Formats: sequence, C-alpha cells, structure tokens
Amino acid sequence: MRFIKAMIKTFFKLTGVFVLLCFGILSCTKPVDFDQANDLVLEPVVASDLIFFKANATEFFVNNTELVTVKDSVIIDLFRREFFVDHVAKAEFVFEITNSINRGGRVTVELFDINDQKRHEFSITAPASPDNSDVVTTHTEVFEAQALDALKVTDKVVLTLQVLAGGDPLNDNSPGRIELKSKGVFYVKVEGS
Amino acid sequence: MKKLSVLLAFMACSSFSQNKQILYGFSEIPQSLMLNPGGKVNNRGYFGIPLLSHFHVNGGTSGSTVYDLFADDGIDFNVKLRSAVNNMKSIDFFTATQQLELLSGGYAFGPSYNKNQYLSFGLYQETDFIAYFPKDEAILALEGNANNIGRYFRLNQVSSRGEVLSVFHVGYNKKVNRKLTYGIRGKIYSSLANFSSTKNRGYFVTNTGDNNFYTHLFNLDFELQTSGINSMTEGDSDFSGKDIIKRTLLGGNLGLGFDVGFTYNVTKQWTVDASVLDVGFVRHSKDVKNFEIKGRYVFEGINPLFPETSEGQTAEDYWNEVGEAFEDLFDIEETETKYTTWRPIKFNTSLNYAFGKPKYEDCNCLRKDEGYLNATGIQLYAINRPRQPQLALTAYYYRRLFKGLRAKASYTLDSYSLSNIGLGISAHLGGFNFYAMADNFLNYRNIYNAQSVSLQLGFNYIFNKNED
Repeated sequence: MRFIKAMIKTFFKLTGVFVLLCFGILSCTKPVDFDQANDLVLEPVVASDLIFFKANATEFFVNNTELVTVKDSVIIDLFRREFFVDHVAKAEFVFEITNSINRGGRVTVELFDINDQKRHEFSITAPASPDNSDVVTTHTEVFEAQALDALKVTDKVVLTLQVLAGGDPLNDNSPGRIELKSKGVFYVKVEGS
Repeated sequence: MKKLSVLLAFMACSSFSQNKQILYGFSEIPQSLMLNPGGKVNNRGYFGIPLLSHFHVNGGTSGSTVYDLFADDGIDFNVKLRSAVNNMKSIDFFTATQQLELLSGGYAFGPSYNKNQYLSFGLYQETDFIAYFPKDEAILALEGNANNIGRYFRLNQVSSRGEVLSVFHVGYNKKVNRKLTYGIRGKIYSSLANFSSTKNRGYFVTNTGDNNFYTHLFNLDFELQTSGINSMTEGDSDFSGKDIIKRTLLGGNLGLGFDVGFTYNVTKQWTVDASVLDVGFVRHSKDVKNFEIKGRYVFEGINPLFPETSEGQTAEDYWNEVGEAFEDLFDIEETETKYTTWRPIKFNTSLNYAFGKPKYEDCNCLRKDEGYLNATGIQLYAINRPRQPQLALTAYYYRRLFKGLRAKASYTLDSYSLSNIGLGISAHLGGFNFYAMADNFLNYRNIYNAQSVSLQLGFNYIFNKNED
C-alpha cells in the first residue's frame, strides 16, 4: 500500500515538473501589446453610382411645347442610416454632364430633411453646344463639415433639370442630347474601441 | 476590440492541426490506437483515468502570427495589419482543435495461450474549427472599391466550419500473425453544435459603365448552415448545462463513422503501417437554422428624370423597383433545411526501422527478447479540409531510455512551418502511465510567433503483459 502511495506521489511530482516546464517554456515571450487593436482604423473608400439620365433634344418637345423644367424627387434614407452617420468622414458627389444640344442646361440638386426643410443645394450649369459637339462639364460637390451634417439628415433629394433660354428653339427635329453621369465617393472611417 | 484580440491570440496560440505526429505509432500509449486501430498492442488491458486520459489542444495559422500583428515594436498597428493582409493568401487558414477523453478502456481477449485480439472503447469530446482567410473581403474592408475598379471580390474566400461533438467508439484489433495486425473502429457522433459555410459562390465587382460612371455587379450565393446553436442564442433561450450533457450522451445530431488501419512487419526491424480515420458524417436535423443570401443585381445608379419605364409604370413604381431589388439582394433568408456534414477524414502512414538490442553484462539465456531500443522512421499525415487537404511529413527518433521511460522526438514539415520540432515522453511506473507531448519547441522562445502549437497529455492505468 505504502509502495503504491509513494508511486502515485512520484507520478504526480513528475507531472508537476512537466507542467511547470511547459509553462516555463511557454512563458518565454517577446513583448506584445494587444491594446494596439484599439488603434485599428479602417478607411475604405467606397464608390457608388448615384443618378444618371440620357435625353435627346426631342424629348424636351412635348405636345408642341418646349418642356423647360423636368423635376423629380427621390426619398432616400441611405444618408441618415446609422452606419453612414457614424462612419462617413467625407463624401464627394461627382457629376459629368455631356451636352450636344444648342441650349444650355442647369441641373439643380436640393437636399431636404425629414421635416421637408431644405438643408443643402447646389447646381451645375452646362453651356449650350452651338455646333452640336459634345460639351463636357464636370462638377464635384464636396461634403465636409456643415455640408456633411446636412447630407447626414437628408431624407429626400430633389433633382431639377432646366433648359435655359438662348440658342435654338427646340422641336421634333432638334439635334443633340444631354447626358448626366454621377457617382458618390464616400470616405469611410471605422475606428477601434 | 479586446474580444477580437483575445480571439486572435487564441487562434494563434492554441490552434492545432489535428496532426498528432508524436503519438502516432507510440504503441506503449493506449491512445495510439485512436490514431491507428490496427496498431501494435502490447498490453493486456488498460483504463484511462476519467477526464484525464487524453487531452489534446492544437492551434495554427498558416499565415501571419500574433507576433506579426501585436509586437510592441512602435510600428503603427494599421501598417502591420495591412502588410499582414497583403502577405496572406486566401488559402491561408486558422485552425483550432481540442479533444478531451471522458472515458476509455480496453482489454485483450482470445485463447488464453494467445490473446491476440483487443477490444477498446470510450467516449471523447472534440472541437474542431477552421477558417480560411477571406482576403478579398479583407481588402474590401480596408480599401473599399473606389480604387479597385475591375477587381472581383469573391465570396468563395469566405470559408469556415466549426463543430463540437462527442464520439462514442468501439474498436477491434487483431494480431493475425507475426507479420500482420489490423483493426477497425466504429464511431457514433453526437454533434452538440455545428456551423458550416464552405460552399459560397459569387462576387461583387465595380466596372466602368456605359450609362453611368460604373456598373456595380452583385452576384451573391452565400449560405451559413448551423445546428445546435439557435437554441443557445435565441432570446428566450433556456439552454443549460443539462442540455450539454444530454447532447453529449447521444442527444445531439447523430452521425456514424469508422476508422481502419493495419501494421505490417516486413522484417523484424522494418514495419509499415497506415490508417484512415473519421470516415463518417453527421446528419443535422435538430435545432437547424440556415442563413442564405442569394441574388444577382446590376446597379448603375438611378434614373429619376427619364426612367426607361415600361408602359403604365410611373416614376414611383420605378423607385420602388430599385429599392426592392436591393432589399431582395441582401435579404437574408432563414431556413430550417436539414443538412449533412462530412467529418474531416484523416490519413496516416509510416515506415519504421527499429534497431539496437539492449546489451547485458551477464548472459542470461532465459531472458525474454525485449525487442529493440531505438526506432526511427518517417510518417505522412493528411487531413481533408474544405478548400484543399493539408499535409504533414514527419521524421522521428524513438528511444527506450530506462525500464519505464520512452521518448520520441520528431521533426515535421507542414502547412504551418518547416521547422517543427516535437518531443514526447511516456512514463510507466508500475501500471501507471503518464504521457505528455508537445511540438513546435523552436517557437516556444516566443510563443506569439508560433504558427502552430500542439499539446497532448494524459494518464492511464495499464495491465502490462510482463506482469503475469
């Protein structure tokens, strides 16, 4: 009996030594600092198409009248969603208008909040093209500081296209077209901790 | 963030491949039969000390280590993270495995003059996890799509599976003659929890467009299957320890499997052996919850002023259509469809050479042949993983040191490293047996830089043959 006891004792002593040895070896580490994870910053730049249109000059001649203004509104809650509000540090709306109609055009973008209060507005004027060649106009609207705050409460976007006076009157045979392309570039910033 | 770092540390410190290269072929340790049911048996019987007979943990990363990321070296964490992401490939992975034997035992039977058959049985619990590095998704999160026009962010890089299960097993081993021993082990799996997301397809890409600056193409086919998890995580869960015990004792999702193996003594000194383990499946029918995102959508922006509407469609209808298309695309569909998972099949084989008879000063012709003191050999291990099998090649040296001490040193080449040195000992004090083995000793100088660590230890009581 005593022999078995001694044996068990030795056995556990051995185990103890092994475990200590393991931990002794395991404890060999070079300095690491896990708090560095708090410094994590993700800064992806996300690009997305926004709005576009393409219209021939003839589309502005409806029922024998010149259509001077085309307007529509879009309810868009993307910009006031939590992720956008918390993590978008800067936004840019990039527009490119290509006009080959001999009439100028103006695109106006208005941002309204949920109470239908206008928070931000900008417009882009595309000059007329007397010889019906492509006239390209670009515009970048940068949303920072106040403008960014305005974007982050936006619930409705109103887009207006006006055909400006001057140049040729429009009819069923007017040549040329007007095209708009746009994209949003969103500078996202997600920080750790 | 803390949680994330702990998780990362866990992944890097405790992940294992399931390879137990030191235990394989270590025939003095009864648990070596779990790696080859047709292994050599040289005891009359044994029982494992309950809960202490076999403990195994293993973790590994084939990519960056904890030290790469968290070294206190004054370099900005984000710089290190970006370089880690850039250096890793989408076939790099993190793994973690853990096994705990709850009960085990075995005994020899057959005619009293030649007990050449052996029955072993037991119950163990296993956790197995693997996640591949989703490089495309990591790049998307770090950089976004704006500067990656034309780059495909592929969903098949999201590949991960994990399971916790208990295994009831009974193995039969027969020494046919001096040359051949074979064995087979039947297994019943009871899965406590499982998740699997390994068959994802599709991509997201932003190309330059015709109508607008870009064309965003979403083609998503993602599925996450889970069983045994929903009842734990749902709001009014009354999940308790009792449920764990119930599921462990065949109350989980059940499956079947087997191991087979053999040992062949080519000569007295040369031996070859091989085994195939965990050929089996688990059928998940209880507590199943699957999540699916499926859809294809091309987005070019919205055209509010001159929508290309079909007849009778108003601008508002057009809006709703765009909105619905996006909602449908990212709509997560939940199903309770039963599914089947295959267990990761493992393959082992080795070629061994034993040499060096013990020398005695006195000649005693009645002394039993005690075999050779040394052995050396090479072992090959393979495991089937979701994206591609993992392989490991080991060279080892085995030595009987004293009457009751055996040691084995191994050198392994695998997905994790090319310099993995392992060491194992098995001590026999009377019937008591204690064994411990660990690998990657070179990396213990700085454990955070280890790409994998494996540890096994346990206690048994063995009825030795020579005690008769």
